[in-house]
Amino acid sequence: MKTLKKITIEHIRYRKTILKLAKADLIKTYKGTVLGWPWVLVRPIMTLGVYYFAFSIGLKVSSPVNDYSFFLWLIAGVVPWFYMRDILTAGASSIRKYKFLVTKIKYPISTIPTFVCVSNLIVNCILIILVMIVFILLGHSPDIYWIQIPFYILVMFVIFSIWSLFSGIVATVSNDFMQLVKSSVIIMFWMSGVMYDVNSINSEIIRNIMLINPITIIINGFRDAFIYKEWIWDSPNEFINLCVIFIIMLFLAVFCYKKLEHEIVDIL
Amino acid sequence: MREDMTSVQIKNVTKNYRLFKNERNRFLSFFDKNIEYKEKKALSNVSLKINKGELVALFGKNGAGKSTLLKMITGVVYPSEGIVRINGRVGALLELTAGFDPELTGRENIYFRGDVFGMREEEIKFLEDKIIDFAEIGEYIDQPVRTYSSGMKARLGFAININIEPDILIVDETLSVGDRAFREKCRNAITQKIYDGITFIFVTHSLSDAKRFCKRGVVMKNGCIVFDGSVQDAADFYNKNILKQNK
Repeated sequence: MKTLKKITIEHIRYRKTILKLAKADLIKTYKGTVLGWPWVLVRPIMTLGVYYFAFSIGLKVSSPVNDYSFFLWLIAGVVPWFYMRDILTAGASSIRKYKFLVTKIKYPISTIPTFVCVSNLIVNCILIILVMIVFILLGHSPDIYWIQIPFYILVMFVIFSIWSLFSGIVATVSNDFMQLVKSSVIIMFWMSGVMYDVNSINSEIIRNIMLINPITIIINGFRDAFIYKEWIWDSPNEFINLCVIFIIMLFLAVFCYKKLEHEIVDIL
Repeated sequence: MREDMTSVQIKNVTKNYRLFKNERNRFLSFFDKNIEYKEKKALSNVSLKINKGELVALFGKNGAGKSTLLKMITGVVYPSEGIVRINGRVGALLELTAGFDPELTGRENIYFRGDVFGMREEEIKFLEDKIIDFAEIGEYIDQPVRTYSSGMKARLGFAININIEPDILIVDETLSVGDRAFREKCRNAITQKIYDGITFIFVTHSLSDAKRFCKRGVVMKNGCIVFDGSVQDAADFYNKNILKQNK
């Protein structure tokens, strides 16, 4: 509890620094390119273009969901997935990446994963706005359910910040964990209902197990807002699962931080 | 009042490094307390009190625990046991790279460091020219730091740390880099800071430098403080008891 309070205080005190470092993190990745940071948008947009070609032109998937084309259904979930995919690995490698902040200067370690998450979030917010524009251009004007989108963005950000803190610390002490995370990304992609609707799975047991996964719940949330027009309280089970996962992860992150905060510098 | 006069308070500090045979053992040790490891005592039961405005030279051979002690004062390394209390902003030159992000340019690194120190935008802007002026690295300031020579890194590192208005300045042998003109410039800058009443902790093997800046001398050996007194006495002690001993 004390550790949690400490982490919160560090975040409040360094809030401006976190934003600045997030900006620097974003700029840094594409340093030395002529186009600069907009490159960060190029890859996801290209992926979306390929999806469009593959599903609408190639495979001709034409089963509209709730009046929306499959492509729209897909991007409503795939774009948040891009964020979660990136954070799965970027979060875990955050502290290693910013090693010099740990070993060379006095800086609160807990905020390193956070600014990495913020920098990725900026990109994803732009992408989600693009998704909204695509929806509008294709004749689906915004409605009241869209106000859930900022909420889900926030939920996604908070959960994955905690994941980053936990995984960042564990990955520092164990390279094996880092490798495990890297190789589990593809599993997460197929097991989290990015490409299909988990709720349409026939077996109730499998469905319920899959709805423990926070990635699935968040993707469903975005689709509820964009496609299915449902409120968050229409699926209370998912909401409760999310809260439970949140508390467990928070506990794990705080526990690891407490145990390893002072030791990380000796290991790096 | 008395409390405010203390810059650095180190009380019964011990620092152990746990050395594992391999990564596997380190990993297992989180679950199993019985995993074997060797313990390296970098500091054992060290107590040191440095008052505001004091000028301390730290002597000791490699591995005597100087760097660990300095890192602790900087707030990077935490003690295994004991208390470290610091009063004021610490500017530290521990290593040449001094916490630069190699991908960012020198100028961006100035801002980056300012941000990390929690300085405001205007504050950094104000210092920017001063730092660039001091570092004398010309147009390289807008090149990525990874292209810098070690001398340039040291110049920039020194320029940043001396100009962020630290209350405590820690210099770890960095004065031996750069050409003579720059070294002289650093010495003058330090002299100026000393005049302003900064607390100064200096690690060096050059006794003349130590005598020039410092009044108090501390000698370390095997993680312990073995002598604490005037700089002249400390230098003599160091020469007589530690350097000669191994010959």
